[in-house]
Amino acid sequence: MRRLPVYLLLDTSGSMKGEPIEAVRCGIQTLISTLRRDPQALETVFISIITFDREVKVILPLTSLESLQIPEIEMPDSGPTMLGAALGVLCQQVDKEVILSSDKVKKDWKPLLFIMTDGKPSDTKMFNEMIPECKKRNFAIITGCAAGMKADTISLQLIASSVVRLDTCDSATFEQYFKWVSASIMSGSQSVGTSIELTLPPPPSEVEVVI
Amino acid sequence: MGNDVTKVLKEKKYKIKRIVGVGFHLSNLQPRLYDYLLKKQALKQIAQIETKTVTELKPEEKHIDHPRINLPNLNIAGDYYDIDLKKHLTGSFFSKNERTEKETYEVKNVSEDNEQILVTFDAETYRFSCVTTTPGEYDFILVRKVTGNEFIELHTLPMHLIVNPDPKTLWKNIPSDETDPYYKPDTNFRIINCDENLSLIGASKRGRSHAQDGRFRDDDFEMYYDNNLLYAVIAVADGAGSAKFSRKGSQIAVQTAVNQIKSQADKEFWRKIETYVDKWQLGEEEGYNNLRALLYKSIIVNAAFQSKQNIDLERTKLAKLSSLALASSNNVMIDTKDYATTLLISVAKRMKQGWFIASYWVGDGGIGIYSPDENQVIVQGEPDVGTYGGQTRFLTMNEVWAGTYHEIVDRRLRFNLVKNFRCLVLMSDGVTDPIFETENNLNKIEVWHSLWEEMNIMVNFSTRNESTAKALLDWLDFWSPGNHDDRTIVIMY
Repeated sequence: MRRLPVYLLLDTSGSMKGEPIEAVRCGIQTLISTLRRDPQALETVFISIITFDREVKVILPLTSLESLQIPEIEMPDSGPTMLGAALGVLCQQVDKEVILSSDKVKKDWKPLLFIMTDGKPSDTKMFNEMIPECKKRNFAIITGCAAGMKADTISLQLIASSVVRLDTCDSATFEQYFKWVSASIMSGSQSVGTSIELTLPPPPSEVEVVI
Repeated sequence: MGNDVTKVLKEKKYKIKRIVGVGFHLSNLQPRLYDYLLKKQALKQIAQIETKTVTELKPEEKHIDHPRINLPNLNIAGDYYDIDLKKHLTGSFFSKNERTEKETYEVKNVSEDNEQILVTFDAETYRFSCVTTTPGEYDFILVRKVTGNEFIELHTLPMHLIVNPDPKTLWKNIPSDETDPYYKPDTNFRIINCDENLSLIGASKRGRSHAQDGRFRDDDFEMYYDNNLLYAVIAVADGAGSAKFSRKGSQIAVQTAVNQIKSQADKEFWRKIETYVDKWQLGEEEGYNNLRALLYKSIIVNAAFQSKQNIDLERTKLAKLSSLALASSNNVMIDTKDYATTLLISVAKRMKQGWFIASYWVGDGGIGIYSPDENQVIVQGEPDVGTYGGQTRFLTMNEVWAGTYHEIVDRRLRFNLVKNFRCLVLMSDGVTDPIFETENNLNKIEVWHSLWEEMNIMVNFSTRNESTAKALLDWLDFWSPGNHDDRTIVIMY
């Protein structure tokens, strides 16, 4: 069976503490339960969650939707946003987890990547170095989500093929965002047998597309 | 609480407990106890604790709450769930106490929706099992009551269980739009009986992933047997899932391929082929080269390339029509890649030396000549596959046509002379993906054996009539997780 690997990179720096991170947690819950109701996604989607604050943690290695359980998200009170380091860990994980060629098992679909941050990378040098590395991993899509007005869309645009902005970090907005993520993943799992670019469904009105 | 009362009750081995809702009111105390308290002049205090409740003295109940655990998911609702709970616990929930005299277990379903679920826990084997047909999230509390002399421990363990829906129940079957100009039926099956012992049989079925949202069947097949010249042509094509007109692309491809070969492979053509085959069999290079050249002309140029050309023509036609319909001078953007399709073509003829079979292959899927008696399969070509899953090449791509004569022939044309074979099989990747899994396995005879066995369970090939083709179509509905693409298979046997 071909897997569709989906990577979620989530900002857990101090500013996300409280309502925002709770909203993200609810959003992930919605994402997972929506995907579980889609037969194509249920059988093919594998999800990994990587969080970044001053540290980068793989809180969920690539796991099938069937057996997935949402892990606890822990976060510090304050500190830097190591997005660059997170991209580094992401590349390692992709190299380790995504099956490109094998005589025994089937190759995976091109992975999808969703990055969510409410700030900007503190490790700019690392971030800039990791951009070409990430591009080499051949993601079918990379979308960036700038959550809240303080989020830096410019650096996200350097890595993501499309960037959306959420004006607020409340649960309703995140719920809409994650619904859109699930719609994107489902359209990814449906574009079976294509070599043509994956097109994303239109984002909901709460989400502003940054051009 | 009055010390006197407490003291008095303690003397009588009674104990005041503050369990709201349990026990009974002081006025319900046994008369003897009441009298006793009265004598001890403790009743002064009784007024103060009148509103509180007391129970008869039992060993103290100690409540121990254990942290919630997530049970491994039940992957398919309806399946029997049975796990060794001890293996999933790290804490002290099951730890024994020397003074334990008795222990009992109880599982409570505290799920929000209180869905129907049958739960059991076996205290001896620590096995937790349940059955439900309703997917969702469940919460349980496992209560372990440990009783000893003078003590009771109530251990509670909240447990969370996710029950996934059975994917089979999630698929919808939405018919495709019959009014679409490029509409074609969601299924197709046919049999051509060439002679008593030779048939061409084909079936094609829209995949579940297409049926789920009312998309068309993008696969197609065509087959022909020439009763005079005694040769067969088979073509299978798989339209790209993402290309909006690929159902038409695959249809044009298979029809053009078969018609072109039909119109060109005349008596003279086969005479030449037979002559070249003879020479080739004698080891003459000239025979081999001539064969290649003639097959290049007839199968690659005349059939496959013409299929691509006809797709281009269709695209131009539609673009013009659309511009007219929209009554605008704007060019309607219709690209050849909107018709993207793979194409497999096989031509087979019985000759005095044996069966001559030649194939052209662009894209994924598979072509094989299966000879179980020789324990052999000849795969006539190699699939086009990319680094990641689902990537392939299409007939409509220019890169497929780039290169020299030799490069193209080496890459895409194969021919063999076989003495004996059970069947020639052409399949789209909707069949090869679940059956063969990897390109490498396409060459493994064991996989072909099991494919043939599996098909024969559902299809009685010896009947050679309409029902045989229908049975083959039904076989195409087999279940394979994650593999729900259109499926097409054509067999000459």
